[in-house]
Amino acid sequence: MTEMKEESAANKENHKYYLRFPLSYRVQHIILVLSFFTLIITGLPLLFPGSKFLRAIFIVPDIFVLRGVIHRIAAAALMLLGAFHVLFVIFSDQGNKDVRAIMPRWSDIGKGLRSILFNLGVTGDPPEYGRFRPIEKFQYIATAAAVAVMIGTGVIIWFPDLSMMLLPKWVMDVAITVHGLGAVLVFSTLILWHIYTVHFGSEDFPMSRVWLDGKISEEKMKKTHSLEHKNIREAEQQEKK
Amino acid sequence: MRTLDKRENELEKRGREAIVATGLAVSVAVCLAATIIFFTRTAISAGPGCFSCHGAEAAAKEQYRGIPPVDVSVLGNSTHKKINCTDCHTDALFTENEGKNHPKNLSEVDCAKCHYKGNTVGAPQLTPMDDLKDSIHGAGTRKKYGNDLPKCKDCHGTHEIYPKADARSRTDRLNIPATCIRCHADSGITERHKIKGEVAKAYLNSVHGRALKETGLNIAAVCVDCHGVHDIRAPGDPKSKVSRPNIPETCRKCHAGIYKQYIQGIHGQELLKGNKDTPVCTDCHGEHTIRSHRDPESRVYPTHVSKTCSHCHDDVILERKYSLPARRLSTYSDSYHGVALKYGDKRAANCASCHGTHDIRPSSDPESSINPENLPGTCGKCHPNAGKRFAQGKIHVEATKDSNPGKYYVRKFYTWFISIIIGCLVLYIISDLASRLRKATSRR
Repeated sequence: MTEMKEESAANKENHKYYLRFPLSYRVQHIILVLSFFTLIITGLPLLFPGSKFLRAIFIVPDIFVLRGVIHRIAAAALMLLGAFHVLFVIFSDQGNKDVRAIMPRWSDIGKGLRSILFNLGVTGDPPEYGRFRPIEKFQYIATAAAVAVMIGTGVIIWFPDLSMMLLPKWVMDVAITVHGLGAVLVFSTLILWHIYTVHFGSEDFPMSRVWLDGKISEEKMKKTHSLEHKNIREAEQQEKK
Repeated sequence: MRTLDKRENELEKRGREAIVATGLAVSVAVCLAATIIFFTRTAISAGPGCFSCHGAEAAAKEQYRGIPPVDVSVLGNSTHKKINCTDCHTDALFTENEGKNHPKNLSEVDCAKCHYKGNTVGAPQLTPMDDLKDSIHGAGTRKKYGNDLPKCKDCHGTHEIYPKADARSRTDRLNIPATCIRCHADSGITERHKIKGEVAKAYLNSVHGRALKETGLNIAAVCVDCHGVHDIRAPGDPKSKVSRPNIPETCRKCHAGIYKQYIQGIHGQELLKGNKDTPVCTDCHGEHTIRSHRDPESRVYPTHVSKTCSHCHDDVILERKYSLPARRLSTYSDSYHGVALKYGDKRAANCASCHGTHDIRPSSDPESSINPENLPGTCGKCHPNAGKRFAQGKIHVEATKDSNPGKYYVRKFYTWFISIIIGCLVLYIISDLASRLRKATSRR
């Protein structure tokens, strides 16, 4: 992680910032946000056809058809993003390193439980986290799995004539069910887990800006990613020597 | 030759006088008879006699006020123009009343005086009037309806009766709705006899009424085509043309091709067996509100078809009675077709797209559109290249263990999975909030 120094006019302290997310990460994330948002908005109406509210929006059948077109465009964007991300983690150094760091380990289970117990006041010490906290790892894995499943089932549904020619009909029925319920899962997980964690769970309520400018302050680093902070400090001292 | 003597001259003279006298007497008699005949004929025919009080000029005069005027031009153009007033208004005969004016309120005209079967005066009887007495407008119901009961003149008119082919006739096809609506949408009559007035008026907006009104399509169905003319009976009467079991035959008069399809399909077959639950034309299409299937307000418009079919096919009692497959509406509504149609996308399949419209057959029937052999063709109507595999598997998909295990288990899994995840998250949130609370309280 690169180090950045910034003078704050107010305190004259040296607020040290680390670049947690380089530009590529932030761009990928924004594309993910936009495509997820679009997909959910255009997809969920299919699960609630009886809703008067939704039917008031889809007042003309053409709007409903347009909804389908927009959904597929966003899906295509997500597929491209997914492909890019896979290539990114394989071929870029930064991606390589981080994907290894984000892989869950057995110790994460322990850390997760300890954090809950600490929060409840049962144990004394908070656990120490590296680059990615267990909750963040979980969200990454969950997102990757969900996207893979949604794309897989989505492609089957996108080309119903082809799918039903090649596969038995029950596969189509299952694909539709998985896609629909998977959407509910993503929606509830996303809204509840992720939004809570980054908005309400972070110390800088209402929102931490790390997803926009990529910067994380040193104090925060020490609090939430202490192990990583230690590693960086050691690496800096090694360099100085 | 000798000359006549005195006696012979006298006889001749008297003979000549007698001839002249006879001749004179005959002439006078003839003149007198002609005069009498002339004047009495005037009293019978539509001449100066009746119109001296009932004519247009008389109406302007003070002394004739209160006497109903009769329009000569109307009478003159009517089908009865060659008939005398007193042929119908028999109690107005001048001679009957000893030369005085006829009584104030004449009795009702009895059309049957001439209009009976086999009459010798050439009065037409185009539809059997003998049915009238048993019909709902017949004399038998006079007690019930009293003065509201229509008489001949209420439908046909009085002086303004025109020949059948005349467009001015009240019984000309284009005018029939107006003729019937005069009573059947009259608020007084409908209230008194519990007739549904809005029903008759609804006809005017139906596909039949509009065709009649807007384009003058006189072959469009009018009241008499379905209800009958002089033989109208209440819908509950089994002899009525509009009693439920008879309706297909009634509609068949114009829609013969559709009738043929219907009677071959399962609904028609059940009708022939005497099944009272089977739908007839009006159950799906409506009656006075029938609209073209292309009209968005029609009960068989693509977006409304599933609602119409589910009146019976989503009724648990009927399902049990006839062993019909259950949950047809919910399984359809769950499918993409149902969802898309609810959002107004008319391209999506509705009940009729797969099952047909009039010749609906069970899937076991080899000619059925939903017979497994025929399904690729049925699905192929919208999904080109639909092969055999396309149509395999259930179409109405229920998520039960036996009919669709894949969907069933996926649903079960996801229900559990989502619940657990959310449960864990709630715990996490609680623990996080707890820690904040502790931090906040410990700072004090």
